[in-house]
Amino acid sequence: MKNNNTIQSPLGKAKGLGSSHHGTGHKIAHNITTLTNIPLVAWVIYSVCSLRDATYEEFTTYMSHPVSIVVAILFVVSTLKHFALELQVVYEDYISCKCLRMMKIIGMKILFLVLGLATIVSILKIAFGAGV
Amino acid sequence: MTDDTTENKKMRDRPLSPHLQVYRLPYNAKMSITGRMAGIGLALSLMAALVWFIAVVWNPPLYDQTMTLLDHPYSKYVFIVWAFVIFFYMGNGIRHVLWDMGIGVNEKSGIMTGNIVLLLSTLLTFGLWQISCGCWSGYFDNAVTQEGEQNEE
Repeated sequence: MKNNNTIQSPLGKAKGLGSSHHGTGHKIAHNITTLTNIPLVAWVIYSVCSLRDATYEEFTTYMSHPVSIVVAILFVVSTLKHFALELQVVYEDYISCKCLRMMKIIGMKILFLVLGLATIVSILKIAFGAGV
Repeated sequence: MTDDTTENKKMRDRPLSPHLQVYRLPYNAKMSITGRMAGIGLALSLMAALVWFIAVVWNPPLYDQTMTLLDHPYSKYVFIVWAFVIFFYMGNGIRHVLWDMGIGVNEKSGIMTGNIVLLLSTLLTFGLWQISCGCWSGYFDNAVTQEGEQNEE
């Protein structure tokens, strides 16, 4: 073992007890997405308000604009990343059973990944109008 | 139990463990748990919105159906609540970023910035409501005509 100063046994290390050392990265990513969400959510609010009485053709025309495509994809990635981190903390705080907790966190992240990819594909479908 | 000795006073002044059943939540704790609940609500509503978007893209007739649903007079209240929760959550998020930078980490600042967030999110919600659809004037017009119709009857 490299670190002889620790009193943690190899078994304790293998069981993954103690700090995971992922907390700071988690918090930094959460704060960065908090800030990046502000302009992206502002754009979504503006879009929803301006598309209030839009027909489907107007809706697709708006979503086909290059700016709309880029910002919408950024919105999906940024918000889903933010809420994945947010919900992970909620699960870690309130679910004491480790097995259930890990299943919930992993399931939630897989769900968000699938949802995000499906949304991005849908954004691209509107943008390029492929008759799938 | 007999008299108020220094020892008893010491016992009383000891901090209380923040256990939900025995702890009367102070303002900052209420704001904290409200922010978390807002986050959970927004996560769920974001998922619902994305599912709606995907469904509309792959099944265009659904668009007109959901737009008819949005014409319901009560649907605007859903959007107003949604807007308030979004602004509240974003304000809380900015507070968290500032706290991580070491700004305003004490009880008084927490109460002050919490009040600022509540005030700003209320103002922004009403401002957005007014800008987006002129619902204030529309609302009052409807109220007046409805009263007029009732009077005629």
